[in-house]
Amino acid sequence: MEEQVAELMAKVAALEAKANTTNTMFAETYYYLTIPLMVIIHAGFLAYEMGASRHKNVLASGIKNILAFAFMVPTFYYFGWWVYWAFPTGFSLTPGPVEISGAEYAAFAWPWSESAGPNLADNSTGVFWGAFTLFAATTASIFSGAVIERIQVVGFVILAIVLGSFAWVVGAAWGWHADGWLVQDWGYHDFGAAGLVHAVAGFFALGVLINLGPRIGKFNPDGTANHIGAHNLPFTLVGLMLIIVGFWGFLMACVIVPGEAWSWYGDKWATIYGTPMTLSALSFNILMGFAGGIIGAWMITRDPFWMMSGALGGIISCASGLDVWQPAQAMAIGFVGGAIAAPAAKILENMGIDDAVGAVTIHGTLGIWGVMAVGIFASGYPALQGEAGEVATTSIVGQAVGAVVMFLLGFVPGYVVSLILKMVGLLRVGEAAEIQGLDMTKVPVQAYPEGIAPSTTPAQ
Amino acid sequence: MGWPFDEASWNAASGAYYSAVGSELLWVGVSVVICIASMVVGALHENDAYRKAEN
Repeated sequence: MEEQVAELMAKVAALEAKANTTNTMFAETYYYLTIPLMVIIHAGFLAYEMGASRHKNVLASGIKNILAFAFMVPTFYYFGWWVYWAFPTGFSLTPGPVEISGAEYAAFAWPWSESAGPNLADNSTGVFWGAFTLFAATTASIFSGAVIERIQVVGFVILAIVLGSFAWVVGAAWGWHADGWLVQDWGYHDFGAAGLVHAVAGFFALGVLINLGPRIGKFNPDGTANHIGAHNLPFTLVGLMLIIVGFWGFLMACVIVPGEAWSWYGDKWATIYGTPMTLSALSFNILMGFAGGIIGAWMITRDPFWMMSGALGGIISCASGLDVWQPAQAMAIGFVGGAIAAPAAKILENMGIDDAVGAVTIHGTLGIWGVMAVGIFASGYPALQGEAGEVATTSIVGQAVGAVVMFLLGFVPGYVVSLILKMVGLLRVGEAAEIQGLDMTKVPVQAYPEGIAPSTTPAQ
Repeated sequence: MGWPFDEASWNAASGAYYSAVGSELLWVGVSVVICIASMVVGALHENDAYRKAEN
């Protein structure tokens, strides 16, 4: 009998070990797969920007986007990942209440640590780092579209590094990390990063655009604006659809898998805040927000560019509360986002800002709307795992504080660093190069060697 | 780090196993230099191109 019990116990132990291994491999594979899915976002932004450029700048726009991605990866490895773990409580670098933050804890994130390379005892750090690196590269791509056709490449790369490997990461440390002061003190809730990715990147772009100035020919002497058309709108529309495909990877990476030592729960999915959720909820709400955004934009403009941008705007509008919305509510919130996108972009244009692809509006303005929507429609819920009264709850004030912080985290570094670059001559291309076209000026190959007539006016 | 185990067998590998030539810090330094140098060269090329366009 004892032998049989011992044999049974051994079998149970073996099964338990296999179950643990299976769970670890599932978790590792889950986050690993978010990375190529998020690369699709960059394929989308590449197509989007190149299509939105005039044919004389197509490849220069593409090069800029590719280099942003390339420099984001190593710089996020050098210090961006460390910033996320070191900064949650502010700039003091002290640990927070959950004790997974601060300078001492963040030592594992330095590029020379044992966790930052091949390690058979660590199946998670690399895939989490990869997913976060792709979040960082997304912020750079968001900013990239706004400044096409007149920014210098190296100046742009420097700005992209500041945004992707520092500014948004500080926002994530404060508003996403369980020890983040916005989360702990204000109950800030931003599950899908409407504020800490989209608003930060959108308003960073605004800060840069003020110093960069409009493209030659965009505005007339009396201040009225000329339309500078995309050279290939179908390409841009496909790019936008690819961005939306990639969003599934982006939002998938915002979820915490169960059953691991670092998981919130043993048996259920959670948000990054440790509040329970399901992938089913995500599926409902992403698709409903997407649909609402398209319909909202269609009601206002009938313009396919804004309809597809509205799709993106619809998801961003829902992003902060994708874990809690009722699906029809997600559609209504997305509808509002889609409807206000084009008019908000027009207001910006009337202020003399030349945002070539509407990035400030879609990511900045609608990112703020997404953050505030949680305050308006989902106040009073625990913002973290824990009992009522023990943890902060979501509120309109907390969301408003978060919205202001995200605006400042984007706008201030964008404005200040671009001003410095302008002063040292690294921000804007020369006038002759801009009129001639950046492809002819500095790209060794042609996008369309046959069949397209050269530009005849500066606005072309 | 180099090979961290006593015997030349993967059987003993259990934790961090970076085993190629040079330390982690050395290679981080090399890659930082690559990034900075490429940006400097890129900026020089770019400004040269703009200057040619002006003339």
